[in-house]
Amino acid sequence: MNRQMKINIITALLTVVVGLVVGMIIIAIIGSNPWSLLNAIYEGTFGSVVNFGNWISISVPLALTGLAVAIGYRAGLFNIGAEGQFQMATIASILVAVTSPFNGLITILLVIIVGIIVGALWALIPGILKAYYKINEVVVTIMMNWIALYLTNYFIVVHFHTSTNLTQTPIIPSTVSLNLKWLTNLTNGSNINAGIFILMLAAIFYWYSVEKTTFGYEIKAVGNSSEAAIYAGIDSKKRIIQTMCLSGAFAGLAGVVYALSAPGYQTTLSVFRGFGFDGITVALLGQLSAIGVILSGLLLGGLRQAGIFMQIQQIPKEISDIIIGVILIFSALSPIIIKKIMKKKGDANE
Amino acid sequence: MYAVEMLNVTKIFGHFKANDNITLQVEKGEIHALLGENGAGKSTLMNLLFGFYSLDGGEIKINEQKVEITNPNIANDLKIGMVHQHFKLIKPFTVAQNITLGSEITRNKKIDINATNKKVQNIIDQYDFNLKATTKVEDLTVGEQQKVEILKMLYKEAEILIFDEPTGALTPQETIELLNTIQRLQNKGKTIILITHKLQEIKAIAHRCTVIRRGKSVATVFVNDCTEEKLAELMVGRAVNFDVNKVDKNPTKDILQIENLTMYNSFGSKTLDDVTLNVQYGEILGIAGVDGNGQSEIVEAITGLQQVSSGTINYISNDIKHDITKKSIREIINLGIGHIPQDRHKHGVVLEFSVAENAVLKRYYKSPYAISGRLNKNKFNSYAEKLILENDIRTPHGVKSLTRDLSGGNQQKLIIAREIAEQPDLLIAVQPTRGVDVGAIENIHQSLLKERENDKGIILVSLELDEIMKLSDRIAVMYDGRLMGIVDAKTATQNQIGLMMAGGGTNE
Amino acid sequence: MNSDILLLILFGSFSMAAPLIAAAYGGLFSERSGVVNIGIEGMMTAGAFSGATVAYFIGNAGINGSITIGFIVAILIGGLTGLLHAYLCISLKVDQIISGVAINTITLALSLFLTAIYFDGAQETHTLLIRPIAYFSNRLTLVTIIRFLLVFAVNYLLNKTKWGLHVLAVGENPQAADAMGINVIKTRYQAVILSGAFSGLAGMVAVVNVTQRFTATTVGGLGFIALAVLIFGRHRPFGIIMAGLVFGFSKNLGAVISTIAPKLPAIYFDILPYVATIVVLLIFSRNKKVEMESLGIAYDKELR
Repeated sequence: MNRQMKINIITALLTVVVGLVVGMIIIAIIGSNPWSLLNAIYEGTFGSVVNFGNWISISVPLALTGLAVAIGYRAGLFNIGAEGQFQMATIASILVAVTSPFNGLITILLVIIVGIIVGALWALIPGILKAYYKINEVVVTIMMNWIALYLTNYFIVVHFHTSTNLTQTPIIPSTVSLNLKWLTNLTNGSNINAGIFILMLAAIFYWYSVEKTTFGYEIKAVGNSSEAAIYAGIDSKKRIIQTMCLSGAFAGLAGVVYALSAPGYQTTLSVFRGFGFDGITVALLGQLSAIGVILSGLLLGGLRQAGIFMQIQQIPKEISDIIIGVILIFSALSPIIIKKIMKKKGDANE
Repeated sequence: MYAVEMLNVTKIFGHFKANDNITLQVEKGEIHALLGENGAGKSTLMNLLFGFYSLDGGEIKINEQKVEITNPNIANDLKIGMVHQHFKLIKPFTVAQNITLGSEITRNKKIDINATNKKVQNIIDQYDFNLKATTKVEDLTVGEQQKVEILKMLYKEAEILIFDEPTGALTPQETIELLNTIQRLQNKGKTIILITHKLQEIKAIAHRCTVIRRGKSVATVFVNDCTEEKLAELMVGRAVNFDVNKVDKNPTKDILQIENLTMYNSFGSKTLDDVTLNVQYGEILGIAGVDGNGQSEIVEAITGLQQVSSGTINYISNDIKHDITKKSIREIINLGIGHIPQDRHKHGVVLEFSVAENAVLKRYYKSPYAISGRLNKNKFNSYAEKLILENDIRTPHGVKSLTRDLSGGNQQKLIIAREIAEQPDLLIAVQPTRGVDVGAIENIHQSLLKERENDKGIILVSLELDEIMKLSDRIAVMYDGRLMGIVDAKTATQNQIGLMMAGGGTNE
Repeated sequence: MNSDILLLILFGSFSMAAPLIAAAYGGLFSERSGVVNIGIEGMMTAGAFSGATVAYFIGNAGINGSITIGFIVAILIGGLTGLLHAYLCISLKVDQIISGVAINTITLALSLFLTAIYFDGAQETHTLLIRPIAYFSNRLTLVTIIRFLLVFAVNYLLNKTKWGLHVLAVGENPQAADAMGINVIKTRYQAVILSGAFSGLAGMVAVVNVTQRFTATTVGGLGFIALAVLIFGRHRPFGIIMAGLVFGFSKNLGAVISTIAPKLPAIYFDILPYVATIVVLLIFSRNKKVEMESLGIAYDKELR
């Protein structure tokens, strides 16, 4: 493990510690016991086998949206639209799952394919606008998020709800769920499912395409130095569009996994679920590496779990989101701080 | 009395002495020219005077009083004003708004537009500029915008006016108008310092001229006592060592034919004006000229980095003519055209990539470096290792080092090694030895000569006249986007070329 | 269609437009000075929550003028949030987008967190008592009227004062402004803090006009529609009024369309503002001269 990697890991850990400390301070300010945060994290992750399974389960879509944001970032793109791409894919997944005439496994594969395509398509428009018209992808993707929210809500309420509840989709058949009997049994009935294998495949795919292919080489060139990329003859327009679509595909996959897990249905939303936005933190904290993203996904999953257990102690679950936000700021801040420290060291050495 | 004295002034950037013990003395009420090539140190000297930089040695006196100018505000207080090469104007604002920015006229906290316009119009008329205070700057011509820059100084009652290469973006008519303006200002008692590389302008209006070369002040002369030739000689200096072993070659076949090439920049100004030239197999064509006179545009047109407005560029390989003005950059590269770029950080390398990744920047997608889209990093490494070994490229951690951690000189060596290793038939080298240490310069020169020996065509663009004269077979001289002439390197003199670089030496 | 419904739509649009316009003014100052502010949504949230909470408790304690105090608090808190964004982006040079996203996340979470704390675990603050103007229908409040008058103040500030001119200069060409002696950093700080203050104000307006209390949906996307209003209004004070009315009308229409014409799917009106924004961006992408070049780039004195 070389020096750079050590610095990266320490930085990430410190960032998390800062986030936790801020959380603890806030809890102390409202008069509760700050250590309950650490307790809740422990409870939610390793406290029991069921909790452990739930923890892993909730981390999977987080890591997948993390991969989505990460691959965009590699090419210098800011895919804030992971949330909308995720949203479209979840509803599309339920739709296919419920209406498919095929048996379990084939339907699952079908759902995955559809989910990926839906996510990619939802990212295509921002990609084209950026590549050909140089329109900043941030505002466009934020708009696409809201359009997705309204579209999916509308779809559920008007065309796709249960007989009793206008705001809830039908439930997917149990044959289509990603639950694996042995996994569920192993973890005393938690939500953990085949999603973990999908994540592993996705992470390998991410790592492979970024590190081992000409595609990865080119998007890194475009992301780091768009002018040198042009000088080298790289078709940056094509790569930008492809990267956005790939990013959307990852987000779509996250939506698929989320939709096919417990409870097996979706509801209309008044606010975003937040997986897409958390993906930004996951990507930055994980420093854009496949393993980093998985670990960060687990970390944020752990925080989300902790939120549930904080509720029990009368501490609102939003504390997790606050901590995640702080981690985001410090993840963005740390490269700058490191550069300053390195520069000071370099000046001292001369 | 001397209005400005810069005595034994020194300015160092890192290890580089931009100004080395320079002395400049400007009399009150005179027009004093500052002549020198690129990188000679003129702009640095003036930036010291204007407070953008601080002195590392020497002192400055204004009106024979010692001063410390640590920021532009102090320079303003001392009544020193500077018109920069790149205008600092707010485009959507009016003339009056630009001129009064930072010292607006207000009445009860509200900006008094009428008073502002009136006051500005007064000054405009006082100096006979033909402008309306209420016009938006974005609606003005370049020449008129420059007038606004000048007015900014006059509004602040500047007495010492510095002009930094003021005619670069002007048409001939606007240039004449500007020179007239400067003379008018001098008649009103202003002291003028004119930084320029254009001899005609110096001869037209300057009283005295100080020549700067390689950071040192070389001479101060009375312009009337000096011919253009003499000025050019002072500017480029004499010492040139021609000790190269250049094989005799008689090139006959064209590799590149440029005809009637015209290009415009994004502001609509002409950057290349009907340029026609050719390059042959087995020759080095040098392109000489002061920076910004069209050389970059020629290179960008050939390499595909910029669109051509009109004209043709034909590349001849295996007796087939290819019109490369329509081709993509990758197609041009694959036809066998290599490019050592001017700005190595912007174009030449991806700084965040490793040395190995940058070594294969032009071949990463070809077998065996990639097979069916899958990279073979080992091949990257072995290729890069060969390059750094054969070219003495110093790296902190071998081929895995981050390119940004290499020194500028070694980055340059890497780029050159890479481009030559691609075995192009036409190699375009722009400023190839910039920032490279003396020992390495020789190697790079030898490499270029070797390519020439192997019957490749080479275009060498350099701001160092020595280098051009040493290596080239023929030399094309650019001035103001026009090709002034092509001379035989064996018979041409430095002064002759220097003259053309500064706009002289032809039927103007 | 009877006139009651017409009036309802008209005043509803005004009501909805008011917070949009206020927030867009916030974005206006920030962007004109060269700092991208994606965090308007978060600053509105902070203002909405703090204003609604303080107003409730003060009103509950029987003190008069609780709403006004609520507004003052909202403006202050919004300004503080703006200060945070300014510090992160300008001094620490964090990416402006990330700063905005982080602020959005943290303020929403913190607001819901504190709501649960102060209101016994509820998801929303308690309803405020707001007196409408007796004359007009009960959808038009004093607040909205004042809102529209603010355009003159904003226009004055931006276009007719020294400071406003400096903000414009700093955003257009910071090097030029610096060379003329203007403190680029200080001006940007001021613009961003002001932008936060306006956003906070907008949040409280949303509370008063739309939900009469703070919930997760009070601001719910208005901060982003405000960005659209800003772009559609071509970054000009009067243009923003027009754009705000258009978007306010369209958003309000989505809510009431079911009563007027049940056959028309409300969905088209719901997504209209967002689709319109994208279209606007596309149309104006051709005219790149209008967009400022220094937007989004932190000012570095060394790069002279």
